[in-house]
Amino acid sequence: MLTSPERKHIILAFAHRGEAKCFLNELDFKPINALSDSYLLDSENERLSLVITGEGKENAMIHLSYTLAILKERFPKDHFLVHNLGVCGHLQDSPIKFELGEIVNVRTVYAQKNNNEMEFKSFSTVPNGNNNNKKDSKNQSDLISTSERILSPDSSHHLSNFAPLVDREAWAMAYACHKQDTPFMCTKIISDFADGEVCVRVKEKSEEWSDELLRFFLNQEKQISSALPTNKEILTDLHITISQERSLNNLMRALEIKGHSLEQILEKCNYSQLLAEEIRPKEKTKELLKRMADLLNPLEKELRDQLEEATGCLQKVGFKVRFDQGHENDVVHLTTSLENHENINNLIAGLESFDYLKFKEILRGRDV
Amino acid sequence: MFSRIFVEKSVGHLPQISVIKERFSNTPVTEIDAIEDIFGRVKKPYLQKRSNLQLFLGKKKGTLVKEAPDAYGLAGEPHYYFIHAYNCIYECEYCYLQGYFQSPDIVLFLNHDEIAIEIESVIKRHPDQTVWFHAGEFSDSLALSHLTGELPFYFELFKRNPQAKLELRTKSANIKELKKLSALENVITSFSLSPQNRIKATDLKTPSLKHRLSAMRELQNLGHPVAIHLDPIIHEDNFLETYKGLFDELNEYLDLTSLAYVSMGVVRFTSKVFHQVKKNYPHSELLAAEFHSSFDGKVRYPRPFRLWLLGKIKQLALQSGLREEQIYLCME
Ligand code: SF4
Repeated sequence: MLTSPERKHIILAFAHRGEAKCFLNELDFKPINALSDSYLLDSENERLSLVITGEGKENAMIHLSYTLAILKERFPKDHFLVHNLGVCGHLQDSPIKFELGEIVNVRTVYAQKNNNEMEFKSFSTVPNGNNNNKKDSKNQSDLISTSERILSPDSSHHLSNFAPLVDREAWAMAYACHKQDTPFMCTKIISDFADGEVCVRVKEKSEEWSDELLRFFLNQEKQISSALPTNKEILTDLHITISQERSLNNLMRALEIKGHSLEQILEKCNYSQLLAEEIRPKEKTKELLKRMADLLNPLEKELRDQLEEATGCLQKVGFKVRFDQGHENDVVHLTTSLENHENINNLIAGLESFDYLKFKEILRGRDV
Repeated sequence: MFSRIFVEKSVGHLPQISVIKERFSNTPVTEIDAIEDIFGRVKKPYLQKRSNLQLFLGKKKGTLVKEAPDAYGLAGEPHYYFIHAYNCIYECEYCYLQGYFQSPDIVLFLNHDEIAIEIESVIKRHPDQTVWFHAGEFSDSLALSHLTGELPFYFELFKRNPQAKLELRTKSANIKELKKLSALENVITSFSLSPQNRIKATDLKTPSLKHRLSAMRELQNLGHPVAIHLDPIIHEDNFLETYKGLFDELNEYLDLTSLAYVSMGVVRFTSKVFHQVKKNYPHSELLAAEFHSSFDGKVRYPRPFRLWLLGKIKQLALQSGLREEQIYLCME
């Protein structure tokens, strides 16, 4: 009855080939057809892709968006997560201090605009087993993707009011992920103090940093996978439309919050009896959703039953009954069609036996 | 408590700055030109208040005293609120401050003298009426009062203006500073209360019910007017028993007949805040509640439930000894 059809798929996103060097050397990646600078490692339970975007926000945004779109089309059932790994600079005016070579999980990514102002939009990464809200501002820190490679002392000072770390691409990658509803994670190794020394160091130390990042990634891979949404369990016995699936998931989640397990929910909704009933599969799904909604909202069911009873005399004579949304007014809307004179008398009899005051009392919160 | 303190140059000389710096002597302090250069410039995730809460100290510019919305306080009298802080150290899952400022960082405005001038000018505009002023529209009025030190100033102001009333609204039990002051009839401390199980489930980081009740009792004994907000009322399976228990505790700790007022309101959200609740607290019980999108775009229980909840609580209140005229229902 319950199946888990999807696979986890982590896309490792790097700006520079040097940062990815050890990943490409040590792991068995194969180039992806028709996608430049992109590689794939396929295993039974999980897929790993690697993409090198090039430097700067534009390159990162364009290249990652394209790769994500193509991979999502090729592997439509995979659960994707993008993990950006690479080097970053540390703003020394920031009160949070880091050492060169330290590895940091990025918590929130900000950006500097071309005119040096801050971009308002920010993106949060998903927690990777180290909870993002943990009181440890050292291992979890914020980062700004800057528009310039080398920062003036003034600019560096201003940026340090917002975050202690800088790079050139993470924000754009996070934005691309946001647009494609894909979780984003970011891990950086501190390579420099954003003072212009970076280019020299990258050449000298890129292999060492790439090795450190690979080591970190392999150690953390389990937690990283756990950041992906768990495979959804779906009820395969039912004929279910996409919108019904959404409702089903929402109801399941809400009932779980209220402490019901899946088994309890199915039992309380008489699921096996419902399956045995001789009604159309579509009707079964509808009925299950109704039963689940009643289980979740007992007060609403009670109110519905009371209103049903109070307006029964109207419905019996052929009125269609409708109420204001949320019952915000003491109003019942009636519609009907007249076919002959006898109808008129029936409708009048129905209206006469309707107890409006009782109906109003129900809407005014009489014991529900 | 704070990961960093930003101090506007314009307030650097104030004695309160030294008090705060001393209190947080290990917290880095940065001098800035204006709060708005940093605060609200980027969208800072709300839950970073747990790990990276910053404090901004400066002057409030623009309007300092604003007319309160209709549903505020007792009807028929003019209500205003003044803004001396943004954001709160607590974390109620239903809090409307979620996403309001695009940053959870605490801002404390220290230009109380300018706020006082505006308050007095509003009072003058209503010579024949009792004007209410509410502190804490965007923050908790007492939670940080031991740091901010403004209470004596406002007590003096309202002593000079006995025809006006000041409401200090809080979920804290921080009455240290209030206790040092002589009670004034027109300064009312109002406590927002819920049954303890609800406080535990949704009013994260707020003091326990018992702590708040003890604080209220102390204030009552010192002659300070005390009021209660039973707001937000949230339905749960054994709702009647839990609220009955709450009224029993209220009776045990307080003289209910001398409460200035008890207001009651049922939980409601703007759709924007409800979206934030979903994002920030995906496992919150609030997300399994029987809410609907209402006529005015707000998310709330359908009207029959709201009226039923209010009716039941009012009945319990009357049974506990409160008088009809002490109770007002917030029908917002
Ligand atoms: S005490 Fe008030 S302001 Fe503070 S978090 Fe709770 S609801 Fe929000």
